[in-house]
Amino acid sequence: MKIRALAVLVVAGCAAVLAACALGKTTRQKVTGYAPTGTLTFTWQAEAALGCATEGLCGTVGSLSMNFANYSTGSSGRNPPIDLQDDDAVARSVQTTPSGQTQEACADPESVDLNVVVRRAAAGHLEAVVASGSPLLPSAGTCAGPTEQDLEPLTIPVRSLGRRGYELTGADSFVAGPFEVTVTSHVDAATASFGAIGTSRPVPPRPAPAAKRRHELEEDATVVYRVQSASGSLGASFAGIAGTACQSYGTCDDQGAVNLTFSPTGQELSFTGTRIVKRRVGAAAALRDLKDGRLTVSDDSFGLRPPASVTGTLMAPGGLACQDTQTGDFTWFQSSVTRGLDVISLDPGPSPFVGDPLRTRCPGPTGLDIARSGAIAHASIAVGQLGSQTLSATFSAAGSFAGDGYAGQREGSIVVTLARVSQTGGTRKLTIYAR
Amino acid sequence: MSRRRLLTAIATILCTLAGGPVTASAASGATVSSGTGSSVSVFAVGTAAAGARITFVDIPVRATGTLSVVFQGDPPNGCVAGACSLSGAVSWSPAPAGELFVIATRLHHRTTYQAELNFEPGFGYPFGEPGYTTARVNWTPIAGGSGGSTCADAVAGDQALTPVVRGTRLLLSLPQGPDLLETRCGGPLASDLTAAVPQLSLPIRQILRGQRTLDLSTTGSFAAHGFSGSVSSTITLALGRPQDQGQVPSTVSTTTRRYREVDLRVRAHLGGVAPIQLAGDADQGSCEPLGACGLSGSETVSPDVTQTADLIATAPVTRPARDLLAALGLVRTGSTRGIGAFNLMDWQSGGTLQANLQEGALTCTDTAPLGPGEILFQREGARLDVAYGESGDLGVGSSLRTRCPGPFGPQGALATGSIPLRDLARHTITIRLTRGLSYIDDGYTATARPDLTLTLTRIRVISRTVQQIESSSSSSL
Repeated sequence: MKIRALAVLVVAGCAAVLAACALGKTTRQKVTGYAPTGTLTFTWQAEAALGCATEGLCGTVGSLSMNFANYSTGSSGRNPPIDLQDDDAVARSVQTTPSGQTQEACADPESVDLNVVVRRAAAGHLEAVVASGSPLLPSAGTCAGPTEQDLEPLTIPVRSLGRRGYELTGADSFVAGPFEVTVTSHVDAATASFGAIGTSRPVPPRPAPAAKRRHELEEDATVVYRVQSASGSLGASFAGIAGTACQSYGTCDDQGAVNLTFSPTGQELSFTGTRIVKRRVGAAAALRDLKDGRLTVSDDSFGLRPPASVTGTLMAPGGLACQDTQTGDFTWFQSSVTRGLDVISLDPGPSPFVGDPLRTRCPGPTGLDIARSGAIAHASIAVGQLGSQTLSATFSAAGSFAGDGYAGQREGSIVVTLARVSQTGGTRKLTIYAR
Repeated sequence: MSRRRLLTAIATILCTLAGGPVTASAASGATVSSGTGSSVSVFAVGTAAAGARITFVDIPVRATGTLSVVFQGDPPNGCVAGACSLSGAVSWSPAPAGELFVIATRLHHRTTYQAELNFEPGFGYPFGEPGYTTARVNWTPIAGGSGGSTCADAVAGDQALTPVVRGTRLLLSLPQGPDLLETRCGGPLASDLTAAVPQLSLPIRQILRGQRTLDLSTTGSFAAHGFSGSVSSTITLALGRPQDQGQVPSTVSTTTRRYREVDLRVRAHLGGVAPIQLAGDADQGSCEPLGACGLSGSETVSPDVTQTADLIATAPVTRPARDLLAALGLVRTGSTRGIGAFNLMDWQSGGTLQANLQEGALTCTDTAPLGPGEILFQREGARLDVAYGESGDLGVGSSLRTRCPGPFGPQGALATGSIPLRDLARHTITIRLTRGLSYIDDGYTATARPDLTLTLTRIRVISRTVQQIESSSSSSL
């Protein structure tokens, strides 16, 4: 069993034990799960009837092969998901001309961690569908092919083996943009038992020492803005990496770009400042303190979900000229406030467990590649400007990146104009418990 | 996994010091495991010799750069059918983070070293990026004309190098140890590149101080086995501050259990052939990116290995030796209940691997040395099951690699056979391994139809009592 599987089991176990203790119940939960073995293969083929000529993807075929062996995870819930994980999966695609000349050949190692759940389908049949929150969805990676979003609607026919688990065997086909996608599964998800966790005789928790309670006054000022407009675009231009290494990636002399636009028009963004004070202050004073940088400031930009559109292009010496546009909600906002500046970043951050808003169906670098060792773009708002009737934040992309066969520059900017909706301030009483 | 190999080496040292079996194996009961952080636990058979001091040093490594090989078939250099038609490039990029793990064993005023350079992504990508190999290889008719294919492949995962220790110097070269450049595409083997690969030799004492950069950048050319081309490396390894992982105590104080062990030592010879019929996958999306559509042919595995093997039965010391002898089929009476009997025999090389492939008008034939292999012996009731595969392959897949394109080996045994356990009572036993398997690898389907013969000739039977001594230590030791 892999280390990660053990860790998942331990986490699941600890969570269940903690839950049992917290509830003070006498429980003993059985941990069950599945140990999938076999293969799951996604293949795709661009079809003229699906408009592949528009994107310049005709002649493209590809696949993502996943193998499962010696890996199992457990869960104490009912109907636990089947964890189809392959850290060493490989996505591949090739594009050929009608005369059979290869225009582009790509292979990209992919780490896939797909959770599927079994549900009852029409006519009493069982099927497996993607569970929400799957950590790493399958995709074509940097190759030409479907995105994570494209492959999410897969369904796999399921046969119940009773207590022994499930057999996920069969094929499913669906359309993803210009691609006809076929999923072929030969997966045996055998039930795996991991014993039981919890205790039948829980030790009563030791009474915690009484917490001391004290009251503090907190000065608080909040300014809420609404996004009025957003203009411009940002992204990256890239080319095959320099030197002989590009030959092994098949990216020599490739030229491409990704351009992202997003518009959070109508969405609200709040800036809040707080500090502990000795005596009450009024709203005006609190807002003045916010502006003067005397409060600890934060914002809620992480909650912005602007509709976004990303267009990817790639031109290769063999005549490949690909252009594709994807739409979705952009979710990569993070912020930090230092030295009087609130810096909002477009950054996947340490957690890659979100879709990739910079990938299209054309070959090209991933968002993580582009953001490597830095965010895609930053916008700075001076704390001293908070409270102004209007604010302007310019997300500027800059810096270089290199990885997975491509190297390039982040570039472009998006100017977001904010109009003040409300501003409140004052002092409130906090009750603080401390030992 | 790689650290396990190194720890097995420690077990070997401990067992040697203890006068126990030289081959450390699960069957002998000797295992060494390392905990996380600074805690190290050691479980060894026997008593460690006084005065031996074993120290672990773990040096974090930050790796950058790429090792790239560009090649083409080279008729003047003697390329054989098919290889002349291959041209392309392969490159390896190490994981950005790794560790250099060094074991220093001091005994009788002399220190010997073992080292391993691991590029393991730790908790797995995306928590840590893996290293990977990527290749693009064209297979086209030499005289032009139609036909031909392009193979694109990538291989990611845990990777480890085993630097060579010569006296007090550490010799590091790329690629070294496992073939870091192997993919499903054709091309030169790592052993063909020896003249051009980057090499570095440094005193181990300097390495152990860490905090220096090892520059493995180089450019060079090669011409061997029908290929010529260039090698370029931009790889640098920045060594961080060494973390002393502690020492294995030379005196082990706590005896916990005593075991009885019967060791049937045999001379084993494995020969014969195991042809694997190959075909490109019927699905175009799977086979075409690998250039395998319409490909057919065979790879023939011909192991030729002779070496000593130990079949070991172990049980608590309260069990009579007769029971253990019965578990090995050496006597007919005795209770075998609860007694395990198995062992693993492995080797680094021996035999050949021959590829003979066709794709349209193109053919590729090549013969390469057969790499590591292993045989697993396992008692199942009244029978002894024997399984043959590549090294590590009985658990984790690896490759059967020639200079021609082709799939990786199966995740499982390539050939299996079985004999009645009582046959082990004979002086010479012949076991035929004729059960093969069908398997799917990316872009390929394969069927192995082995006809291998394993001959075991008894050398001796040893019965002994061993004690498991358990100790826990920390870095403060």
